[in-house]
Formats: sequence, C-alpha cells, structure tokens
Amino acid sequence: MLLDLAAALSLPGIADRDFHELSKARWQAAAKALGAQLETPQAQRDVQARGVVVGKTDAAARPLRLESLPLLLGAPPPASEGLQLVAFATTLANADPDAPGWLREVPDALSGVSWSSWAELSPATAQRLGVKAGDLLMLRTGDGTAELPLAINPALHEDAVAVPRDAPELRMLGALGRSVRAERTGKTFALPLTGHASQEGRDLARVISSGGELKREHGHEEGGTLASPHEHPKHRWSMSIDLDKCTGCQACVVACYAENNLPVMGAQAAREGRLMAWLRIQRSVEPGPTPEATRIAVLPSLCQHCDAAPCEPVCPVYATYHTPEGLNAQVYNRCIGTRYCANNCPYDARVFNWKDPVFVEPLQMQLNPDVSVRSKGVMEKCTFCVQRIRYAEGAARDEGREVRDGDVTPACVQTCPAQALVFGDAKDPHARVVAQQQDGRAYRLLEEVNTLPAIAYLARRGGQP
Amino acid sequence: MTVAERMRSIDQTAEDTQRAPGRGWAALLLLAAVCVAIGAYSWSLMIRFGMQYTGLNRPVGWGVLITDFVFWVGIAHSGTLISAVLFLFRARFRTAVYRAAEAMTVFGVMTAGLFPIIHLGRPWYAFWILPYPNQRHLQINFRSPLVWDAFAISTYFCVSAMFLLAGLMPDAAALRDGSHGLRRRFYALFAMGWRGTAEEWRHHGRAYLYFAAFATPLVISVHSVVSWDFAVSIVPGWHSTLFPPYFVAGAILSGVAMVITLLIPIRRAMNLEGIITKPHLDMLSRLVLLTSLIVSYSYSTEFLLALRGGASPERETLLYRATGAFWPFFWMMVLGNCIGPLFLFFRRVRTSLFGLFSICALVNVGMWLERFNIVVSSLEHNRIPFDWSTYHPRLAEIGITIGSFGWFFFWFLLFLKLLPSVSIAELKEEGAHDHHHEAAHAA
Repeated sequence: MLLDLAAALSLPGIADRDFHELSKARWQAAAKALGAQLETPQAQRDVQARGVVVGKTDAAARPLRLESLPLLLGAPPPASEGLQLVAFATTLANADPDAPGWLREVPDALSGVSWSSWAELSPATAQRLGVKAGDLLMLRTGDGTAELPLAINPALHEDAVAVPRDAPELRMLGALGRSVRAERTGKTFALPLTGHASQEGRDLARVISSGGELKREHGHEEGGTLASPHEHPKHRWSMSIDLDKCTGCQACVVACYAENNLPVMGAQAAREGRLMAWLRIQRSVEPGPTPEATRIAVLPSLCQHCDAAPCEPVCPVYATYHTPEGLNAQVYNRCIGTRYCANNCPYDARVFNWKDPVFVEPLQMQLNPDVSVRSKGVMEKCTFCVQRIRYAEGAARDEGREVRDGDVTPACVQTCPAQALVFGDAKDPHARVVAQQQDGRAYRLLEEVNTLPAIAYLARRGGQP
Repeated sequence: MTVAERMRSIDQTAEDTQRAPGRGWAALLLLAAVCVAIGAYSWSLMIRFGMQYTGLNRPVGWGVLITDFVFWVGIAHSGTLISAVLFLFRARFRTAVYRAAEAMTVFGVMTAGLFPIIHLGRPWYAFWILPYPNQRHLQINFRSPLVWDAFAISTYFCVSAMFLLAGLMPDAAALRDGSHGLRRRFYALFAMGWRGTAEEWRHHGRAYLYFAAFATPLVISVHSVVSWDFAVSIVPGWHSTLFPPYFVAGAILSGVAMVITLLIPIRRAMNLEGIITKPHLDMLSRLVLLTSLIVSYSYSTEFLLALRGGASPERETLLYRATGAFWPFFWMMVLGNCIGPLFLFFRRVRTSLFGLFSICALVNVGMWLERFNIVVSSLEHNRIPFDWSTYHPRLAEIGITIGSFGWFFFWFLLFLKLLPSVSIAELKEEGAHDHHHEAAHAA
C-alpha cells in the first residue's frame, strides 16, 4: 500500500522498484554492515523467512531488562516484589466501554475476549496464585485496586500482569510499570470468550519451513467424487489467503460487519457462541516449554464457496444453492431454518439468526442499502460480497467490456492492511488469484472431505512446521 | 371354562375398561394437559422471539428437540412390529398386547411429527417442505434427508393410523351396539358401518393382512430414513453406513421397552391381568433382549471401526462422546441399553414385574440418552477445533420435552378410556380357536 503511494508520488529510487528489490537492497546493506555472509540462496531465503539479518556486532550483548520498560514509558522504577503491570495495545477496543459495538464485539485476536476488560497472566503464575481463566483477580498497587477477570496467556512473561491499554480499570491502578499484587478473590466472572484456542494437532493453519515443501497428505483425487462438478460458464469467483501476511488484526472481520449489516449481539451472545460474524479469525495459541516458544497461528475463516458444498444437498427447500458464478448462495426468503446446512458445513461457516437483529437508533442509518437485513430464524453466511460483484459486472457492461481482474473487491479484501487476501475469477488465467492458487504453498482447508473449496490458503513460511 | 364363559369374561373385561373414569385417571389426564400447556408456552416463546431460548450455538445446531424427535419415532416403532410383523409371523402372543402397542405407535408418530416443525427457525413456513404446486414454481430438494423424513413420517402416520382404525372396526361396532346416545355416535364413527356379516369379516381379514404386509417394510424404512438425517451428513460421529440397521434395532428396543413400561401399570390399573398375562410380557421382554444385543453390537462396531481407523476426527469425536462433557450420559446409556437388558437372560427377571419394569424404564432413559449423545457430541466436537464447545439445554427445550410427554400421554389416556385397549374380536377368535383344539384333544 505504501509502495503504491510512493509510485503515485513518483518518489525517486522507490517508485521504479518493486517490494522484493527494495527489501533485498535493504537487508543486503544490513548484512554488509554486520559483515554477514549471505551468498548462498538458502541463506538469503532464511533472511527473508525470519525477517532479521544475524551477524556479529562489536557491542556486548545485553539482555533486555523488564525493569527498563517503565523507564521507557516514563514511569518510576518498580519495586522488587510483586508482578509488573504491563499495558498492551489491541487492534480493537474490547475493553473500552465507550468504543463502538463492532470494536467491542469482534473478539480480541489473541485472547478471544470481547465486551470486557481482562487481565492476563502466564499459566505458571496463574497456577502459583491458584487462579484459573474466568476467575476474578484483585490487582493492588500503591494507588488503588481493580478487579479484573483472568485470561491465561502462555506467551506472557511470568513476572508480568498484562491489561489491555483501553481498560478503564487501568486508571485505578495508577502509573504503568508499577509493582502490582495479584490476589485471588474466589469470585468468578463469565468472561465473553470466543473459540477454543488450539488446533488439537489438526494442522489447519499450516506452516512450512523456509525453502521447504508443503506436505500433502490428502490431495483432491480426480474422479474422487460421484457428483459431476459444476460448470461455470463465465466466472468462478475465488479467493486466496496468504497466512504469511495475515497478522490476525481483525480488520477484515470489522469490515465484513460494516459491509454486510451484521448485527452486534452483545456479551451474552459471545458467551453463548452466537456471534454473527461471517468471517472469523480462528486463533490457536499452543503453549511451548517457555513463553517465547508459544506457537501462535491465525486462520481467517469464512464460507469456502465449495464446488461440492455439503450444505447444498441437505437443504430441503433449496434455500442454498450453487450459482453459475461459483458462489454458494443463500436465499434468506426461502430459508425455513432447519440448521442442517450449518451442521453439515465442515468449516462452520454458517451463522443462524437466533433472534431478530437490533440496530439501535441511529445505527440503522449506517446499514448498507445493498444488503438485506435478515430476520430471526434464517441462516446466513459470507456471500463473497455478491453486491459488489454485481456492481462491478454492471459497471463493466456499461463500459462495454469484460470484468477485469481487480474490478471486484470484497470488503475483507479491500480492508486487509497486509493484502493477505486476494479475490478474483479463477477462470481468468491472468488473475492474481490464479497465480496465488498455483503457488507451491497453496492448500485447501480440510482437503480430506473433498468439498473443492474456492478459497486457497497459502501456508506460512518459516518456523517449525 | 366353557367357550361361552370365556367369551363372557372377555366381554366383561372389555366393558370394565369403559366404565366411568376414576379420580386417578382424571388426575393423570389433568397432569398431561398441564404438561402440554408448559410445552406450548415454551414453543410460543420460540416462535415469538426466535431460537434464542434454546441452548444451541454455532457448531451445535441440533440438540434436545432433535433428540426428542428421534426418541418418539423410535417409540412409535414397536407398535408396528408387534401388530404387523408378528401378525405375519403368526406369533399369537401379540393378540393381547397389540392394540395398546398400535395406539402407542400412532400417538408416538403424532408426537414425533411435531418436532421437525418445532425446531424450525421459521415454523410458520413448515409446509414449504412438502411438494405442493405453487405459482412461484418453487420445488423441494429431493436430495435432502429432511424431505425424505417428511415423507417417511407422514406415510408412517397414515399407515399406522389406518391399521389401528381397521383393527378397531369390529370392536367399535360391538361397543356401539351396547351403548346409547353420544357414546353410540362416537363408536359408530369408529365402526364405520360395520355389521359383522360373513362377507365383511372376509374383507376385513384380507384388508388386515394387506395392511400388515404394507406396514411391515415401514418398520425398517422409517427409522432408516431417520438415521439418514445423520448418516448422509459428513459430520464425524454421524457419517456412518452402520446407522440404518443400528437405528432400527434401537427403535424397536426403545419401542418394546416402552410398551412393557406402559402395559405393566395398565394391566394392573384396568384389571387386565387375565388377558395380558406374564407369559405375554415374557415374550415381549425376549424382544427387548434381542434388540439390546443388536444395539450393543452396533455400539462396539462403531467404536472399533473408529479406533482402528487411525487418528481421525471420527475417532476423536467418539472418544469425546465417552469421556467428554457428557460422559455420564454415555455410560448411563451403556448401562441402560447394553448391561441392564442382559439380566433378561434369566427367566426369574423376565417374569418379575418389578425387575422387568425397572429394566425397561432404564432402557427408555438409555435410548433417549443415546440419541442425545449422537446428536450433540458429534456437533460439539466437529472438524474445526476452534469451534469446539459445550451445549447446555435450556428451560424452553426441557419444557417442550415435558410437553411432548404430556401430549403423548394425553392421547394415550383418552384412548384407554374411550376405546378398547385390547382387541375383543381377536381375543375371542383366539379363545374359540383354543377351545376347538381342546375339544379335539378331548375327543
């Protein structure tokens, strides 16, 4: 995005080079300064994968001292006993009571908390204090006290208590970096927590070592299905999601709420597992032997618009069907709400309206007029922003041309700051999405169920697979 | 006992069951009506304010209501088995018990048929699931097991109701001829102009045989179709070719157990001990034992296949079923459906009313839990670990479940007092037949 900007401003030395060249020039300069040897292609790939140049410097290595952190933040040095109070920024504003509903309802990327303040402890510290997730924790500093529900974060330092920066309780505790005493209160709080943060060894968000190959256990077998594949005479809309670029920032999720008139359901719905998000970031935070070894993975998950969609044959009234453009469409008016489609969707991409949505005055004014508001009792799900597809097709027709690659941009794709999502027509051989889907890192989610999804994920590079 | 005495005793017993109802009956009927009201109120909440009153959530789209549906379809199954299949096999012990079992079938289907409608998000459009001509040229999806369900359940209701009514005709005519006024008109409705001529008997016999032959495949097909609701899906824990026979055996197990659970108090309360005898219950309990063994075999096959199949979502789902949030339900199910009925190998248990009643009541609980385990644990523990969650049934679902029992027993209680709960005609026929044999032996 910044490169696009630079190109638009025709900055010398930047505008005429692509990102790869620029970054290469940058780390080569760094390598030169450090005297590191990066001649072999493998060494160069490692630098790309890890994002750092490793070399020797003259300065003696100094460990980062936690005590110096408050100094950096302008706070007094901590007392020696107790835990260190750390405030962290989140991409949303779940803990901020004044934030708009979208930013409170979409769960925090790493903890999964919505609609609440919370405090994080490492598993070892929580065990030492005899508290578990959902317990109310009493935090005491010299300035004041606050009660916060506990979430466990295996990636956290053992001597730290972390509280999101926008939590109002933080003000009660005084300056940051203070020594804080954490005590169990014996009380619990039903923390609105979304999702089970582990892949349970199922390897859904896949990782390949740098230069390594993606292991393929279950490929799609030709002729592996009795159903004849659908014909898509003009377009076959599809998407690729690069897990290497996705940071789990949730911007796409909020964009989806805004574009598709998703209702904000509130804390109780979050507790009950009834949030309406069509697109979710599935996180997994798997503890390792040390906090640094915690393995974190994020997986943007939405309707895969399968060619052999398990949801379609089970609907008794044809409320869901495969369009000639490869979309898995949902006809709200026809849906009677058996919820069989949602049960049979291996990706859990479908969302049921447990009650009528409420858009509190004046929020109804921000509804997207191109998207219908659904009522209680019907199923809904990602449409690949079909309204935008229709606009792009209409515009192309008005101009007397075919739809070009890049004409259609769903809200999530438009919003992704890392450009991890690419959308396009799989029938257009020059489309970026086709190139991405043919990448060596491309794989489909749950290939073993043979649903032939329209979305390809690109495995994350680097790290231990 | 002479033939005449025997006939008189049958008549007398049948007449006794038609006497003015006692206080106990009225209290039970009132209780059933209150239960129906609770269920109706719970459903009305869901209609007005949406399915938020259930405990369902993102991965768990089906719960107690579908469990109830499968449970009641299962209850309905034994009636047809006892009345039709055993009729074709000329198993004579059925005569005394088949009328009650058949009524149970009809009321069971009437209860089961409500659930697919209750659990819809928009029940007021339930008729969209039927193929009816419309100006919008909208068709139903014949690939969906839910459409097959609609056909299976409605067919089953029609056939079992016809079968019950056909069998009732001669008895209703007999009662019509012995009554006056409103009561007479009521029985005349069920007698359908029966006069008892030789030709009518001949036609009746033929028709009854035909209905029996027609209903028999339904015993297999209806519950197979119900099992396809699960087996046709790709949900781990549901997707299994074993399901149709496994569900049919389970249905018969739960149905026969329910027949015994109902008959034991009925024969006591209505003085039918001379007609529904212990040997009859003994024969029924052998059916419980047989189907329980089939069900146990199915459970073990399901587990062995999943465990031998290597690491897979199926395996993890089944292990979760036995050890997860609802592990007590799983082991209660094993106790009720597999271990309890093993005691029926002992004749002493089969002929002990207390033993038989407790075992069968446990089977009923176990079979409800079986359906709950299948429906819920598979959805809770699906392919996407991020969505793993626990389902907690809510008051509205429990209210509707109570309401379904109320609905079933409301009809059943009415049936007990208004219509003959044993087949007078067939009992007499059997009595005459026995007497004939005795006379031949004596000569």
